[in-house]
Amino acid sequence: MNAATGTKQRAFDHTRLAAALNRASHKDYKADNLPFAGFKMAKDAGRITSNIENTRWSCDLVSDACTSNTMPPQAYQYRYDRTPPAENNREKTSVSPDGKWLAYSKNYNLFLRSKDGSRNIPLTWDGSESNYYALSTLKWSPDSRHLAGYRIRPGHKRQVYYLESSPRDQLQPKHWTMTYPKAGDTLALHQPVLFDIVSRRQIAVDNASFPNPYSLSPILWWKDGRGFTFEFNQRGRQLYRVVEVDATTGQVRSLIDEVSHTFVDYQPLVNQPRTGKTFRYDVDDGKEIIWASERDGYEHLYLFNGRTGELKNQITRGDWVVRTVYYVDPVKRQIWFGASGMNPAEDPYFVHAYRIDFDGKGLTALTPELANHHIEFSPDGRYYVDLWSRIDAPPRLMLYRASDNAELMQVESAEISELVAAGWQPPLSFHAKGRDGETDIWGIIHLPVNFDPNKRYPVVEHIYTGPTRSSVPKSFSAFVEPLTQLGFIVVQIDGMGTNNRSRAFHDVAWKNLKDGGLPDRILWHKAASAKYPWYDISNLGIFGGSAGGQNAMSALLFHPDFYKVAVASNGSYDNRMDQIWWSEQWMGWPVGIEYSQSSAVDNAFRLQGKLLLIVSETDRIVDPSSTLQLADRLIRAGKYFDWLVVPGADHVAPSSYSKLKLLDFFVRNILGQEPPNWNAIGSNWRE
Amino acid sequence: MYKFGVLTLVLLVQQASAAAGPTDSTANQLQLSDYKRAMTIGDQYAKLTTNVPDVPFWLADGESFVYRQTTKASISSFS
Repeated sequence: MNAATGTKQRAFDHTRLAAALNRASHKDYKADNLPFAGFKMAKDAGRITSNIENTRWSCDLVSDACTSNTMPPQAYQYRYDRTPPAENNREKTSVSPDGKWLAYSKNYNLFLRSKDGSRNIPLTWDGSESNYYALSTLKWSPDSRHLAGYRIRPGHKRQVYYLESSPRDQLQPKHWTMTYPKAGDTLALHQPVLFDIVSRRQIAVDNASFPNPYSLSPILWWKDGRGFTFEFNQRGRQLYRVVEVDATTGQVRSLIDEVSHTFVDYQPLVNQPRTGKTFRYDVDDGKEIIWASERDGYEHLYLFNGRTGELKNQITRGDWVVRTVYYVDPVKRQIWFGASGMNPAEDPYFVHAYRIDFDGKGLTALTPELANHHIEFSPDGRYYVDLWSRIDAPPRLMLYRASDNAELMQVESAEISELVAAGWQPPLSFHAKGRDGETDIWGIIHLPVNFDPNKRYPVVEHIYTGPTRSSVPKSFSAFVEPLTQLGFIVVQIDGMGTNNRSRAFHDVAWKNLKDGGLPDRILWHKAASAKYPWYDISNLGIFGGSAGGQNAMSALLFHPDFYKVAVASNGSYDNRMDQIWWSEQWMGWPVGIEYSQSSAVDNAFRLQGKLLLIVSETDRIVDPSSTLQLADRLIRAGKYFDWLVVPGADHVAPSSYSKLKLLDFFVRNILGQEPPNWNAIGSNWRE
Repeated sequence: MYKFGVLTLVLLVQQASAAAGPTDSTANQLQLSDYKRAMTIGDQYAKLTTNVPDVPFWLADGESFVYRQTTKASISSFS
């Protein structure tokens, strides 16, 4: 779709691309169902690249030739251990902007080589395997006068062990390990280093302003070369700091401090329900900095003096949440951003677009439709598209001109009449007061097939309370919860401890992942039952995967009077077994008793309800041993449960087989019916 | 993927001996067709919408964006 001309056409020839992919991959991809949702297109529109499973594909749209680059196994562990490697290879270089010098690493030290290769000059002598200078971190000042980077002291390389019992390409099992730091492990220590290229000397950088780092962000030079900044994320998550280093003196100062008595949600603020809270935009080479913070209890934008670090003004303010920043115009001094919760009359999770001036004035609402809006700005800020919908309203895609918010055209308007005629019904939105008696807790109810309000239906909750996000759908989807087709009500709720509400709402998760918002959810269920005679909570079920698996276990273990039946898949049942960033983000550091208090393993003896555990044998997100440790503790406690190990499966793997096992489990234990004898029927299973 | 197409019998699901929650739906014995619907309805419904767009993304030229949409009698296409 061309925004300037208003013309719409196929992005490429789907049939030719499918054929090209099939030739190269020996697969059978269909032109009307290509195996990717997004791609990058070259500027001349002659080539697209996209990820299909774990392979990067690049296809020439002129010659119809596709090539692939399979992601190596190390790509998985890079998710967890991003320690810059030691690279002693004089052919790998970092070239100065003026082209005169090439920096490289040799014997863990840094060297300079002149462009003509005639001169090799050592910058350091003290590097070693256990404390090396990392070439990949080097950043030249724009004037080529200075070079900065990180020196690395490696941390503990914890390994997760895998046994793949049933590989497809051989009879005998395979095993492998993956580097995967867990809560409490010793981390690699990054320390910034700075060099004056003219004098060939190292300038000392005092590390007193960034003690005990969890991470230091990549170095970012000011354009005028006066210094550089990095963002210091202290281990424990109570301090996040923008640090500036003077290029001439090496003097260090803090520009902005973000502090919390619980946690700073240090991941970037992005245009998704799953988001962190940090955002930084440097205005005019750092004279000012736009910064996001939850310091007043809600995620808002602030304007700092980038030279002094003083707060100039709060840009956005109110008991609502900035959800993303779409675009900043430093000339007009305006910000386009998304926010939720500003309109008291609607769902507080609905995202709307707004514009505001740097000084906090001129707040302008841009999306009047009562719906959930997803905005994508063009790279130059001239246009934006607005994809809006609700769970009960099909989507529209609109094109706008940013300068005056003029509607240029309706790009798409979805048609769902056939869907409705086939029996699809939208979920029902419902909210009730949470545990504090004041805060509204929002959720949705998926009604059962052939719903009759004069009947009563059993309820099963689909839970996910990972604090990175809110999980209840707000936009249109034709998705149907399979259990509804068997006569169940299925509900989804965003209880306290999840994201995209106030800071206090989010803080409930702190050192308390066992909570899972379950006290709010129980009140929500009771309120729904009181309002709707058809809502039967006498034998409540619950299921979830990953963090949702942990939540489903918590429901059974800590609220056995309310939750009676659970299916938990690939859960992190003890956060000491889980990946370090997640566990320490929510459960804190140092590792304390809270980890045990929230552990389903340590609380396995509490089990009273019916439980099905599902675990993927080669889960690369959550260590599958976490499930086996839970099973071990349940067995030792004399507890009965069912479980399913899916050989060779990864984290998001439940497959049709485990999906049917889930259905059967609730049918048997809530409806009291015996599922079909699938073996006698002659099931034909396929992956 | 589970293939229900090979099944020709319509089986009544056996009554479980242990009764659970007293809901009206327990009075209705689930049929094999109910399971089939539960396992396949996602794919069926996905084919009954047209012009449902995914989140668009802008190309580097700054003037063009691409999105995937559902189309009549098929799954999706990119415009």
